[in-house]
Parts: sequence; structure tokens; C-alpha cells
Amino acid sequence: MLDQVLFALANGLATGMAVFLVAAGVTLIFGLLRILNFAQGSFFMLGAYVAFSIMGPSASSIWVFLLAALVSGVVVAVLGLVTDMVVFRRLRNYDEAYTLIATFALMMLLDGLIKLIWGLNYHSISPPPSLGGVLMFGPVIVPIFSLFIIGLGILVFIILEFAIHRLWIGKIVQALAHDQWMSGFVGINVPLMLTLTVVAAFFLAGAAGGLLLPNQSLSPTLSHAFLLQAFIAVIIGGLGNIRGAFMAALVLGLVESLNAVVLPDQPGVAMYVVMVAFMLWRPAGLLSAGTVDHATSQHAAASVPIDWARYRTMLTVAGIAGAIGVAAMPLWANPGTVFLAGVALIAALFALSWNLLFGTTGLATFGHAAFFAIGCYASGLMLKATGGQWFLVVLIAAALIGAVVAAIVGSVAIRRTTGIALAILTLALSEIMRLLISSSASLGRDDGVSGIPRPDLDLGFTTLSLQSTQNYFWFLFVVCGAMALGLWWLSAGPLGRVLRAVKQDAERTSFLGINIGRYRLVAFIISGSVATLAGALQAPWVQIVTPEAANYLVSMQPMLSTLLGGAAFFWGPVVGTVLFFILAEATRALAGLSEVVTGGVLLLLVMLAPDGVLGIIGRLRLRKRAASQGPKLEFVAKEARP
Amino acid sequence: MTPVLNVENLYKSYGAIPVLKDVNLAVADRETLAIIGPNGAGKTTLFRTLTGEVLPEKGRIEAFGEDITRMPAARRVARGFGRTFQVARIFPDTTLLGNLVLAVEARKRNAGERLGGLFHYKPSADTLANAEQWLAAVGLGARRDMEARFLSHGDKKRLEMALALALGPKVLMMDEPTAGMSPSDRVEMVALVKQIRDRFGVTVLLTEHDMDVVFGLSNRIMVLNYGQVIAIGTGEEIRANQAVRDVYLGHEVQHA
Ligand SMILES: Nc1ncnc2c1ncn2[C@@H]1O[C@H](COP(=O)(O)OP(=O)(O)O)[C@@H](O)[C@H]1O
Ligand SMILES: [Mg+2]
Repeated sequence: MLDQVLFALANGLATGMAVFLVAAGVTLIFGLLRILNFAQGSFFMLGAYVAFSIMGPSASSIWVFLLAALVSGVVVAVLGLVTDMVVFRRLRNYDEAYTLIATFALMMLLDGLIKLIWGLNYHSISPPPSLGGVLMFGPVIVPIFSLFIIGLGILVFIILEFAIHRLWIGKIVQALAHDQWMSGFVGINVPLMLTLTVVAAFFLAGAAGGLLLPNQSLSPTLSHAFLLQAFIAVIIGGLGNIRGAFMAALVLGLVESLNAVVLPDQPGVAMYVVMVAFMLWRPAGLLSAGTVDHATSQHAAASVPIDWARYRTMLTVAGIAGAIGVAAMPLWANPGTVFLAGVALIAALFALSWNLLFGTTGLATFGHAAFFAIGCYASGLMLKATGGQWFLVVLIAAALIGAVVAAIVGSVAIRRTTGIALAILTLALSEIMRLLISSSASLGRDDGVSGIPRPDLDLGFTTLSLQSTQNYFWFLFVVCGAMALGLWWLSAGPLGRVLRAVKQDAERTSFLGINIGRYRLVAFIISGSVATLAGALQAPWVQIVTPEAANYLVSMQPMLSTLLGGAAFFWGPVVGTVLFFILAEATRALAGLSEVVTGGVLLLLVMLAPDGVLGIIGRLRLRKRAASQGPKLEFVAKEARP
Repeated sequence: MTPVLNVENLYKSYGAIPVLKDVNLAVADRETLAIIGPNGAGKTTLFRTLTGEVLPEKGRIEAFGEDITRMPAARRVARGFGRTFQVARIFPDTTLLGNLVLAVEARKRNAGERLGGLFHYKPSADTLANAEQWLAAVGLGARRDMEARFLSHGDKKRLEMALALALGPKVLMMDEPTAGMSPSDRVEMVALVKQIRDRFGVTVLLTEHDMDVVFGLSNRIMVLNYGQVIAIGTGEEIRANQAVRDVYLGHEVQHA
């Protein structure tokens, strides 16, 4: 027993240090720029691939190994410099939801590029000869490479501590982090210092990629594994705090390796549980040290004043024509396209449900996939049990389950957190769910549930068969359409007005005598319930569910669509979903290409046109009008643009 | 007659630093009380405890004879508390009329009215008329379709006042209503507050740095310094008070 614990301890320390090496970069960048960089894990992975290309699966000597890591660090630092100049600088004054989404897009872009360049294969890499063996401490076996990583982590920690707290450079960086404007006045070259530190953070990510490469299996999923853990360490440690991140990473490493000993059937869950518990314990505490002043961060979605009412008839006609075209798809499109269109209908409803929280209520959740997955599993399992009967009951039951889960989660999460804390909390909760599903035998583990029957629809007086693709597609069209109209009605009415008020100014809203916590909760319940329904509709359409339904990439889908279409517009997510599916379909041929294109498009949109495609159209119209009316409106247009 | 507001031994600290030390205060119906004091004296914090944004550690707040010390902010609004902020808080992406529609609908909701049936998602004619009335009352009627973020600083404060008034408050609390305004805007604001106070019979509490505004508007003045009430009385009494002269007003009194 003791040797097991000791082994777990050594293992945990090594894992913790590895996490710290990635977390250090994340926390440095947050401390300086107030940007929580989702792409950090991808830069780390890039470093790993570059090192792999240099030294191959087994380095011939420790010098080749170290040289490879150094080169990786330099390559990533150069890319980081470009990223800082092209992307981060533009994001500095954005609302935090938009920066999160932008760095997420960057992550997709990089991951896609890596897939394009290096392919999808797994590679296993062994340590260089002199770091390869094991040491025996009595009964305990410790790999030398683990000791190397532990030493490395401590070294990096000491260097950062020294650089930040002792050296002149560190003092400046601290001054910058507190008040960039003021340090500009005392004659420090603010942009240069910032850039240098950002470059250092990226160098760290790249070099860590090379150094941690041995004993990993290198594949394009490497970034995700490290990213979430590093995020958790950074958040628990107090954003922007190196020392905190170091301690938190150690604790996480230990929790993780004890998890493997104590709960071998639920790998990785304990860490998220620790994190959720922490966030509920101190939702403000972890953000208290110098976060963005909300009063000064601007909403990027500055909708340009445009008189949409003037185009109402035109838009309505176009919308109806489009809807008829979609409804008629089984008659004119090939089955493959019809299938995709059905998936898109569901995705559009899912995106609308997310935007009820984001665009309408001002809450960015990053774990909406959890609801979708609940819906998938609930309807998949129930339909298998009934053999495809009772479909309406199944759908209603799924929506109710979603509402209950949302009520429970929301009454804790929504009432206690907003902003980054809420984003990360929901992300962690959905990860916990995915891990639990994929380790549950009754839910089929990673294989999920397959062979889900297409149902019959019993309406009491008659029964419609939904077995054929064509019939189910029409059913999807009707249900998704009805739900979308229902959401539109809600958001146009008194409830929607209050939710938009909460988004614009929560404080003023509560001084209208409105209980904002309750309204946020109501929005969360409606949104969760609709998202669950979307999942429930999908299960019999694709006829299989896997834990991937709860993957956080699924949570990102509605964000993408929403920002693509325009978050400020009710139908923005629908427009975005359509564009997204066309884009994804056109780039499907090459693994990675679609991520590059969608990530790239999303990134460009967030930076150049945060109000989405509909916003661009509005702005072009405005410009045309401004050109004919003189300079005054032009000024307004510029003002409105972040 | 019970006072509108009765505050006893109110104590509030942030960490180890006390910000309000045993504040006592009684406000009579329809009076206008100005709270003055140097920056950091605790004026805004006093407002925040009265409105329920923060809870005091000790002491008691009574409104219309009812203990409201721990009541949440939103519920105090229904009891008749209205509030404007040092930096105007409005709904920036909504039209001026839309801003007021929110307030009028909130008032109806607070009073237990239902807002239209299944097919009436638009504001009712009555709501719209009411909203326009309030806009007109603060002199913004002509710009009803403009989005609020394009308003000037002073006009935002007017709009905010309309938002607060539309809820039918019995007590209107204004935190630095003229901060950052030009002298002419200030004069207009004072006239507007006077007019509204007399027309709707509200009790007004305000904090203010501009002594012309303070003496022009208020019946009584309370002076806070380091969280302590050092004097309370009419304008004459405050001018004459030696303690006030010493710690705060200094030369400004001679000007005023
Ligand atoms: N949220 C807070 N946390 C810590 N200290 C605060 C907070 N709000 C106010 N203070 C402190 O309380 C004191 C009184 O502030 P405030 O009530 O805003 O003063 P005033 O409105 O009179 O200028 C100040 O010293 C201020 O720094
Ligand atoms: Mg103040």
C-alpha cells in the first residue's frame, strides 16, 4: 500500500509540474493582457510536434533532445509574437466573452493546421538514453524522466518567481499589470515590455512542448488534455498568479494520480470536482485580484443603429422563401445533403437556445453540450426501451429532464457566478458529465448507444411513421421551426425585454424592482430545456450517441454559429449555422482543413466584425447612407465600432 | 408621524476599515436631505446600505415603520425606493422609449398586473403612453427613438431620473446628480429636481459636491466625515457649525 501511495505521489508531482509548465504561460498572459488564452495548449502542442520533427521518436542523445526543445521554443515564440501583434492587441478592450471566443477560434485554427501538417496518427516517443531508466528507492520505482520533469518544473518556477519578484523587469511587468496607462506616463516602453513578456510566455509553451514530449502519446488531441488542466490550475491559483498556479498544479497532479489509485473506473473526474467545489466556495475570491473592471470593458457587440423595420417585409419574405426551400429539400436534394440539413436544423435550434443566454441575457456558458448530451442519451435510451413508440412523451420527458437539471445547476451556478467564472464552471461541469458518461457501463462507455430506432409518432387519432429519412426530416423541420418561433416570441415579449435589460445593466434592472437572479435562472432553464430537446431530436436522426456529444467542442458550436450570424440578432444563430454548415461541408475533404477555415473565419469575425454577418450587412447599409449624407453618420459608425 | 426613513446605529466596514460608524438619521416625509462630505467619507456606502446593495454589519434601517435592514434591493424598490447613480445607469442599447417601457412594465409587474396575453408581446398602448409621459417630464420626449448610448452625459442623468421616477418612488435617492455637468446643465438639473419633487411629492436624498446645488435644493443637510455624522441641520445651521467649518467646508462656506 505504502509503495503504491509513494508511487502515486511521485507520479502526481510529475503530472503537476507538467501542468504547471503550460499553466505558467496561461497565467503570465492573463496577468499582463487580461486574456484567458484558450490557444495556449495548441501552442504547446505545436512545440511538441516541432520537437518531434527534429528528433524523431527517440532522441539519440540528451543534447539533441534539449536542442529540439529550444528550437520548438523559438518557433513558438516567433508565432506568439505574430499572434500578439495581429490578434491580442486588437482584443485588449473587448468584453471578456469575446476574447474567450477569439482565443478559442485561434485554438481551432492551430489544431487544424497541426492536423494538416502532421496528420492524425499517434506517435509514441521515448526519453533520451540518459533520462530513460528508473531509480529504485526501496520498493518504490521512480522513472528518471519523472524526476527530470519535477526538477524542470521547479526550475521554471524559480526563474519566473525570481524574474517577476526580484528583477527590474519583473517590477515593470507588475506595474504594467496594475496600470498600463500610468506606466506609460513614467516613461517605460509599455508595448515593448508587454511584447517581450508575451513572447517569453510563448517560448515557455513551445519549449515545454518539446521537453514533455517523451512518455506522451503525441496526437492532435494532446492540446486538449493539457489545456483544461492548465486552465483549472490557473483559475484555482488565482488568475495571473504564478505562485498560485504552481501550488494548484501540484495539488491537481496529486489529485489526479490519487484518482487513478482510488477511483480507477472514473479517470480524471476528481480534478474537475475539486475545481467545481473550489469555484462554488470562492466564486469571487478567485477573480478578486485585479480582474477587468467591468465598467471599462466595452461590449464588442455594439449594434449599429439601423432601421431593420424598413426591411421587415423584404426580410420576412426572404425568410419564408428560405424556409420553404429547406422544407422541400427531400424533394430536390440528395439524401446525404438532406441528412446534413437535418443535423443543421437541430444545430440551429441548439444555437438559438445558447444565444438566449448569451445574446439576450448576457451570460456566456461554455458547457451547453451537457444539455445536448443529456437529451441524446435520454431519448436514445427511452426509444430503445420502447422500440420507437411514445415519441412525443419521450421528447417532452427529455425537455423536462433538461429543465430540472438546468434548475438545479442554475440555482447554484447562475446565482453565484458570472463572466469568466461562469464560463469555466460550466465547462468543468460538462467535462465531468462527459467523463462520467464515458466511464459508465450502462451508457456504453466510449462506444455510446447505437442502433437507436427511428420512432413512430402517435398523435392519438392517427399514427405517422417517422422511419423514413424524408418523414423524420419534415418532423424535424416542424418541431425546430415551432421551437424557434416560440423562442422568438419569448424574446420579443416582456420576458425578453427584461432579459435584455439584465444584460445591458444588471444593477439598473434590479432597481426596477426586478429580481435579476430569478430572471437569469428562468433564462437558463428555458435554454437548457430547449438544448436538451435538440439533443433528443438528434438521437433518432443519427441513430447513435457517444460521449462526444458532451465534448466541449460541441459547446463551442453554438458560439461559432452565433458570432458568425450576429449575437445581437435573434435569427443570427440560424444564419450562422447555415453558413457554418456550408463552410464545413465545402472543406470536409481534408482532416484539419475545416478547423482551419472555421477557426480562421471565426477569429476574423470576432476581431473585425463582432456583430456578425447581419451586423456587417447593417454596417454596409449605414456606410452607403453615410456617404450620401455627409460625415456625421460616418463618425457614429466609427464610434460604434470597437 | 412615522418618519419615512429611520436609521439607527448603522455600521459598515470593508475588511478592517470602518466606512460607516454608528450613523443615525431620520428623514421626514417630503423633505430634501443633502448628504455632504469629502471624497471617501462614506456617502455612497450609506446610500448602498439604504438601498440594499450592501448589508450593514450592525444597526437597523426602517422605512415607513417597517424593518428593511436585510431586505434585498429589488424588494425595497417595491417599497418605494428609487435610485440614481454617480455614473448614470441606463440601458444603453435600447431606445429612450424602450428604456421607459422597461420601467413602466416593471412597475406594473411589481404591482401584480399581468402584461398582456399570449399574443400581446408588444408593450400595451397604456404602457407606451405612460412611458412617453415620463420622457416628456424630463424633457427628452423629442428623442424617444434614439438609442440611449448616444445621449450626452447630462441627458443620460435625466433619462436615469425618468427611469427611477416611472416606478413611482416615495423616496428618490440621487448620488451626485450633477457630477461632471457643465454649470448650465447643473442649473437645469436643479430646476428639474425641484419641479419633480413638488409635482410628485417625493422625499429626496442626495449626495452632492457642488454647494450651490446643495443649498439650492435641500431643506436639511447632513455632513459625513470618515463615516461619522458630524452635523445635521438646516443650511443656516450647517454654515454656522464650527466643526463643519473645521473639517470640511473651510473656505467654500464663505463663497456660498
Ligand atoms: N467595495 C469596496 N471595497 C472596499 N472599500 C470600499 C468599497 N467601497 C467603498 N470603499 C471605501 O469606503 C470608503 C467610502 O467610500 P464611498 O462611500 O464611496 O465614499 P464617498 O461616496 O463619500 O466618496 C472609501 O475609503 C472607499 O475606499
Ligand atoms: Mg460617492
